[in-house]
Amino acid sequence: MATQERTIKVAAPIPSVGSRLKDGLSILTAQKVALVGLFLVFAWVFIAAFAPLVTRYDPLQENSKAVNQGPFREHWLGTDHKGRDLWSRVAYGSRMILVLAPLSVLSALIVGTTLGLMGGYFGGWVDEAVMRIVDSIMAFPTILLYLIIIASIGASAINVVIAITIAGAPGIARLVRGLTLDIRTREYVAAAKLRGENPWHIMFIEILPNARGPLIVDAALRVGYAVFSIGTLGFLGLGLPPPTPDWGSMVNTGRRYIWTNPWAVLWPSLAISSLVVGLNLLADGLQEELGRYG
Amino acid sequence: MAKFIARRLLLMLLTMLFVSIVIFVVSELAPGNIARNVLGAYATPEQEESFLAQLGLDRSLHIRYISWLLGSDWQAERRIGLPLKRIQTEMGYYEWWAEEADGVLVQWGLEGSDLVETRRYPDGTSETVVANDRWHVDDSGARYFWGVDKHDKAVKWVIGADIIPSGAVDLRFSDGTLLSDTDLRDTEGLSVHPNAGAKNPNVIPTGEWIVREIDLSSLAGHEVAEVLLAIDYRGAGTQFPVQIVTFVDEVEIVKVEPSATVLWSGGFGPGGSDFSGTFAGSGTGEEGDFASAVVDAEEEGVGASGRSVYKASGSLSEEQSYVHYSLFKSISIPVEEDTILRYRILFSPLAGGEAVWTLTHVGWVSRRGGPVEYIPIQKGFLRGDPGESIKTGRPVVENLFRRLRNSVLLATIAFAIIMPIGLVLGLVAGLNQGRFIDRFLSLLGLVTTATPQFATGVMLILVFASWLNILPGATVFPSDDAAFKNPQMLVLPVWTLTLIEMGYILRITRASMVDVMREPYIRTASLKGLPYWRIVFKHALRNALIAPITVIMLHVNWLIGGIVVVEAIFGFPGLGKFLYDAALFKDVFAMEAGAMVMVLLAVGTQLVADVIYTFLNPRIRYT
Repeated sequence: MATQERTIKVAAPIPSVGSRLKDGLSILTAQKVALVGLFLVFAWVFIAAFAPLVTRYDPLQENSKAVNQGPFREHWLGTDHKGRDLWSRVAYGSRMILVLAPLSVLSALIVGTTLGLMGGYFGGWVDEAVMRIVDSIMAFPTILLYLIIIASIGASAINVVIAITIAGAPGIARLVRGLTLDIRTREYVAAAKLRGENPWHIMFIEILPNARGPLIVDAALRVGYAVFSIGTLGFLGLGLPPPTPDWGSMVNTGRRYIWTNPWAVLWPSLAISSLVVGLNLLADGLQEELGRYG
Repeated sequence: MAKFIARRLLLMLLTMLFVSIVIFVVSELAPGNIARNVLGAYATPEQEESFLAQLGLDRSLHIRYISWLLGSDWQAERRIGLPLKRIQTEMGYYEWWAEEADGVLVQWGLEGSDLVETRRYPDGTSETVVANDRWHVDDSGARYFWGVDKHDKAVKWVIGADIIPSGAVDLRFSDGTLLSDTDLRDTEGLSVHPNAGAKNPNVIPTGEWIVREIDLSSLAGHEVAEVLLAIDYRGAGTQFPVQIVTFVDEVEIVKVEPSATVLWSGGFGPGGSDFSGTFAGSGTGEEGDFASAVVDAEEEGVGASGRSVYKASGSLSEEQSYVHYSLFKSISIPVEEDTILRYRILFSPLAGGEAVWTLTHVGWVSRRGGPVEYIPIQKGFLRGDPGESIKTGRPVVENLFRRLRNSVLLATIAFAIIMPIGLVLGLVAGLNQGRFIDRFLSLLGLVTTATPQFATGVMLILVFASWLNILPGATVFPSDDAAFKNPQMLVLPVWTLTLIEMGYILRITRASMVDVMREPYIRTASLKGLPYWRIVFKHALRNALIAPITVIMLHVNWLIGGIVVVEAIFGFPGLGKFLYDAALFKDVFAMEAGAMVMVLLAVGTQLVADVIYTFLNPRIRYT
């Protein structure tokens, strides 16, 4: 048994960490546009990580003496209708979104991959059941799905993750199922079956790593979508409850004061646009370099 | 092909079924309360409960779902015993009536204690008659009737079931001593003194024998001269005439000897009974004030089980009014050292009487004696009736189609702009692959598509409505044709939608064009020496457009999402906003109807896309 496993490893050598890192970097540097994306994303990650250091005010601290101010020396992006510093709110808002977006994509990946692997590997009624569920969820307009889920379980960070997981997992499941149907026929899967490996081992250890390429690109795109969705949910009043700094809800509340204070909606709008655009540029560059798959 | 379409249609129906169940279940599990949303935060729990009952929302989930899907008229018919018929009035409203064998349509209402029947004859005339002979009597003696009311609901009226009794038994002794069975208050919930009844919160338990034993040993040597039963009926907040029907079944006075043999027993009864009844009247709740007493007492005779029925009806005009009446019996029971007086008393169960809260022109009014059960009559979704909006009380369809039309208008205009521009720009980019124009257009497409609609919309409002002040930043639809009168208010919503969709189409068209231009047959055409424009338009274009056109159809889900957000930004009264409001309001029928339309649109367009694709691509058609 052990010999066989070693043989397989030799047959499919895994590149060293160093060379893989170099590959990744070469992908990024090959595309100037992707580099711009990388810069935008890193900038936001930096701001999120060091939010207390790059801001001077508490994002929740209200100041009735400086309400709806434009940009000036003390508050260099201005203040909102409660006199809260807009820069602080934008900076702290990035923390929330940069945690929730990857988290929800990860959770959607786990659920979607499991379903897709099961459907593709077991086939038969399991596949039929999985695909019917996937079809039903995908028939829902995504926004309707969000509305229903959030309206029913309430607006909170966890529920936003749950909503995005439910909305995103079917797409991933469909992708993984397609890949699994293909990979299932390979020799090494047959070999694993002959060895008497348990189906879950085959699914997660044999099949999944070989489906990683398209999955990574898909996940990268999904992080962008997730940021997009979290912002939209916040804007529709389905995101985090106030006064948590959240870009979408900042735009939503700022809308009421748009005539007196355009800054309060401008900055969070620009912030979310730049982050999503950055993530998309990055994913796009990744896709251009990595793949010629559908 | 037909089989394929049939299969897809079946799957679509299954999906719709699944979606509708999910929405029902989820809206049930969801926190928040439709009653509170409608009535406001200051509604009392009783008002909410009454409201939910009137809308049939107190019924269990599966019954409500079945009613929504298949209708509730057949459920109502079973109870009423007459077929129901929906007619359309001259005003265009739908009304439900029960239909008698001779074609006469009937509806009912309760006026005071009378069941009033409105009869509508086939020739169009109608009359209103009192139809008290339709009442049924249940085991407890309460009268009930299932009928159709004037609000398209099948309702069950119960009369004589909505009054809370309280009372006491007093013993008057030969020397004038009055012994009230005061201990009852704490232990059994009987109120102490009849006159305090209006203010006394204690209520007699009904439907079970209350057995009391009083040790009379301290009064040995005296003689019980009179037994007095006093009962109050209260209907707090009652503002309408009240019908009271009660059954005082039995009072038994037993002297218990050590051997526990029954010495004396008596009860209320017609004829032979020597109890005499007096009805003391109703008052304002202040002690001793019976000035406004009404009361018209009558003995109705023996009930089915040999019990006597006393009926009093009075007009209780103020809050906390009550009716008080007492019954006496003169007897003679000598009291000895070991006399224990035991009596038992039973008040008939008073079937769950309802205080009905209705919104009238003077505000919320509580009325007793209203229906105790409601079944809102609906034909059911599958039979073409998606129900009424809880928020507006009007059929969902009315609003839904207006909203759908607005959304379709918005989407059509946007599509009419997006498609040609997106396709042309995509082709241009694809033909110039790798050049500056391609990179510029691709990047532009990516940026506009990646920017969330709300950010795009808000930035457009900032620039064109706020700073330049040349376009309206919100859409207001005072009338149905407002969009045509003021087309400029559609500019920004359409623009927002265009920006987000155009980039997508541009990128797909570009990719498709790039692929097609790499095909061998294009190279062949090129080598043949055909002019470039001819290759592009004659050979490449048709194949390059297959992918974008079908993908766009599959993209309807995404477009719907975009429309919801755009409608929310600009306050545009479309389907998206309809659904958004319905979901936040928990207006489940409106939500179901909107969701069904959306699923139909989404799945339907996918089906259409597949069919188109099949026809465009012979390779699929023949496999």
